[in-house]
Amino acid sequence: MIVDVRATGLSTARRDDRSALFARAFLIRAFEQRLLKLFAEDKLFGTVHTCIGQEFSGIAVAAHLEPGDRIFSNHRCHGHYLARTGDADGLMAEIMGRTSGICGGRGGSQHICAGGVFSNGIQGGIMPVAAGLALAQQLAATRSIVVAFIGDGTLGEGVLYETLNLVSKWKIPLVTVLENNGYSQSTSSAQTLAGDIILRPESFGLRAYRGNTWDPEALVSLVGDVIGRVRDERSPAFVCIDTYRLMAHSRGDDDRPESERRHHWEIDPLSRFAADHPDEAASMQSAAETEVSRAVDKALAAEFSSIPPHEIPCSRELIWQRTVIDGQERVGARIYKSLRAHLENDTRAFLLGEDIEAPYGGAFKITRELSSLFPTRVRNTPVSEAAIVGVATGLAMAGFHPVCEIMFGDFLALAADQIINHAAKFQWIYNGQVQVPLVIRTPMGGRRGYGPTHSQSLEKHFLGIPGTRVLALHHRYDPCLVYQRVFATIDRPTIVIENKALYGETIGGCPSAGFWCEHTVEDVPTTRIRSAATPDITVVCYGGMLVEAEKALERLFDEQEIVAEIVCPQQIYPLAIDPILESLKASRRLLVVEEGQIFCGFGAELVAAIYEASDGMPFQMRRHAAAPHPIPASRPAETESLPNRDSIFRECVRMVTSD
Amino acid sequence: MTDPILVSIPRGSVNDDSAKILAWKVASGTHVEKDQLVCDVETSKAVLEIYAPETGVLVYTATEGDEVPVGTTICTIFCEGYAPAHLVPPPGDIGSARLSAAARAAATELGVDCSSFAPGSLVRREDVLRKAGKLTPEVPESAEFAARGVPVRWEDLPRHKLIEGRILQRGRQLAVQSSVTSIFRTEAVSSGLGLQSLIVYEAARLLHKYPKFNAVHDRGRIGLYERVNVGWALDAGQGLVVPVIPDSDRKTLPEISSAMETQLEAYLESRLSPAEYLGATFTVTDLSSSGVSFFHPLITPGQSAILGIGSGPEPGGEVYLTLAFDHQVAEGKSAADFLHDLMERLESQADLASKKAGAYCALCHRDSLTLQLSKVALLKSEVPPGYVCSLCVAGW
Repeated sequence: MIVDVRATGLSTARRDDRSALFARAFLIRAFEQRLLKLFAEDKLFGTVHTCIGQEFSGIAVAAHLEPGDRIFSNHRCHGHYLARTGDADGLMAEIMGRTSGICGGRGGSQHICAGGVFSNGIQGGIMPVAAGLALAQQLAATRSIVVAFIGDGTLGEGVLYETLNLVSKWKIPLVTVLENNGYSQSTSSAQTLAGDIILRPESFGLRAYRGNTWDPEALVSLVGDVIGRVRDERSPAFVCIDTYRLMAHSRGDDDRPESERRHHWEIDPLSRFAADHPDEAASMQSAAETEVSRAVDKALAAEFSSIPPHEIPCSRELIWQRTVIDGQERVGARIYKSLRAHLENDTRAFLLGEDIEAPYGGAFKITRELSSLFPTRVRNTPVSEAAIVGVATGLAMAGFHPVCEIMFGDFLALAADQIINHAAKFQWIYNGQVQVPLVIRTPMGGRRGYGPTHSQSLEKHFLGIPGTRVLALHHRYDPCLVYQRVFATIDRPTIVIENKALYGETIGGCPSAGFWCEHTVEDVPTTRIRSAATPDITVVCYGGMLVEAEKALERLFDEQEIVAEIVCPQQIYPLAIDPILESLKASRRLLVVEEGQIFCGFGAELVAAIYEASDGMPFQMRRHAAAPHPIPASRPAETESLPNRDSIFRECVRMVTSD
Repeated sequence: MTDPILVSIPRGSVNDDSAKILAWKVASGTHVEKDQLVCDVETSKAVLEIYAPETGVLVYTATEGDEVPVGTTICTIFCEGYAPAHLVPPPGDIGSARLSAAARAAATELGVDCSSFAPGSLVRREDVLRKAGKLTPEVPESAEFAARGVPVRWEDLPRHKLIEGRILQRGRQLAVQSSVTSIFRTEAVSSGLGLQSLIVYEAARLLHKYPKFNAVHDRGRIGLYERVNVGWALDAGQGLVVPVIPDSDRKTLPEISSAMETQLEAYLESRLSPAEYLGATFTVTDLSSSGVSFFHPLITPGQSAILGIGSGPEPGGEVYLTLAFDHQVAEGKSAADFLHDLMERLESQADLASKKAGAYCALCHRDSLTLQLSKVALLKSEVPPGYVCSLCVAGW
């Protein structure tokens, strides 16, 4: 949810007040120039990306915005923020790393969130998130819009095009404003830009416009027309604003030709205004400098931000309960029921993914006929994993409870930037002003002969990202109960790893006589398969590996009289090791089995955590994972390459008999 | 619709890690009222009663005879209106026994009936052999520990002994045990409860000067207890227990004597409650009445020292004081100083007591004062000469 902390401080320069528009431009320029001076005085750390010369693009947009509108900007965001809010104090404190900053000093120059203005530092990454915020406005049937600011350099990023395609197809009220200053950092667009800027959005069916910052009043009028039209027709638009950045990209040397820079200083609107109206300009300049100085003084007097110590989870009392589940439903059907219940009980639930609509109902037939029952809230997306996750992130920030389906876990890599640099970070970097209650569901795992890029278990690459949670479902507990609790309590991006080989398994039940199934009593329980006898070895696994581990368990006793115990957590990050330690203290041997790669994997983390927690207890610990090469397509070769019931059996026998 | 209530054996009232379900008082699946007695649970020291925390339908999750860890759910209470859609009570039939391949082969060969094994258990070849009576002493599972070639009859140790062993085993791992012994001459202060309560009294106060012996070691840190609760070992026919006198340093000698008397009585009548064993920070153990001089008492986990009392060759003569301590927090010198100070304080008490010398039992050496408190009579005796108390006459 977004909390409008500075809604009352909003002070947009009114569109028909020419003086106010120029006064605001002077403020922005004085602010940026002061930043450069503060660096020279050693009072600032990091870097800034000043928008000197480009001030009017932000001002022209802000002049037409209403309170419900949103801006999503990039690393060069100060002008956009100041144009919208006039809040020099908060921004200065933020850039100077103070607690009084708009994000408490956590985000700094490039990562701001206040007054309906957001920014992030990854080129292009903001686009689908902005689209998600705009989609939320479309679903809520408001007249609000979202403006996303990009640069000509952003035209190189693929996720921009994913987003333009999607917003056009879904008629989302997003205005993309491209500030074309001809350079991306040190590189001229002559070197990197093929084709034409305007033809790009037009080829996606968007209406595209062009203006520039050298005639500010004309620009204000043009942007006003565009925004007015978007507000009325509720469909996206694209505005390319030609402009020039008078200073360096950040603070380094500027290698652009001297003559080019000099020319642009001469035609700069503020320089010309000062020449034409020297008195008015001087007074505006002086007022701006005063305001900026006051902001600097306030910031210098404030405390540096400090991060509270993070809580170390204390060990909790474990309560185990026998798992007995009636009914004979399959995992896939239970997941379908969870999603259906979510849509039924929560008007803000929203499903998006590829091929999820009826009659196809998803690649693994999980979503079935949900799109017929809830047509506005279950949508097929284009093949755009980054946009899927980004749009869902924006929806989540706007208070929805989206669930995205990524068809194969292997494709999660395409959404990595959105997960790692956007969804996972926003709550923390924006100092708790937003939450991202997002669920990403995806099936991982092999043993279906789908080959190297459709059979992997890549979840280890997404473990350990602060601010997220990763779950792995299995068939010895009811996925419906897990999803129920997830949807009821969700407050952060949650990746749920399902397993394609498990979709057809019946839930509940247990391996045959002599063993039974238990789970810890909590929201996302850990499962344990055990016997009445003291175990000789503890096998830890999660997800699809449980099937193989169980078969090994039976064979270990039947053939070798070795008693194993399986501990199978359903939450693999953050990982609570208490249930595993409890079993390990009895058996003294641990084999951790994972279907992914061994290096820096789940097993490595678990062994390290147990070592640190067990204070020198003598445990034997080993990891067992996939062979260190891609998964071959040929079935028998695939079986050999992944941990299986026979390899798990062999590892256990080796460990127990080697004592 | 409220969630089901999970009922478990509360940690606070039991010192053990596990307890045994002795008897269910209601059938599974029946209605119970709030505060109704539902189960008896046996700990190493006592039988605990479990009451229903709420009204509802009670369903077992553990059966009679099960040994369950403290904190584990033993039953669930489903209150009004709750319909457990997916979690149903565990079925009565938990499946047959599971025999390994080797066990099956042995069962066929020896004609053992597979269904004779407990349902849901894992059966190994040796279990089949045992059932068939074919598990000879030469091939017992503990063959490596017993003396070779000597016939041996194995008996299960009682529960409380197993628990005691586990606790002491753990204590050995946690502490680096060392000890010093000093010999204390006293004629006037006789042994028995009188001497023991006096030592408890003096040691408790002396621990303020030597806080390292009223402490515990944990991974490079010393935890200094803020109270002094002395436990005193007691073994007189009902097993070894260590009742605790809370805040022993704040009690007078008569208060300590009377507390020990009360605890002794309760012990003899088997009604010492588990709460009496909790919270000891230092222990005193007295084997002097058994004629023992030197012994090395084992430090209880959670403590850093234990004081043993032995007697010299003649009754009423020397008293041997042994302080065993954890070398991770203290050393011989401070232990020696502790004993030296303790002896000085005892001697000053002895000086007072010698003013009122009295008769004592020639066999157990308890003086008439102590015997009076226990309501035991002192009888004149020829053999041995002097006096003998009525308990010793009866052969206790």
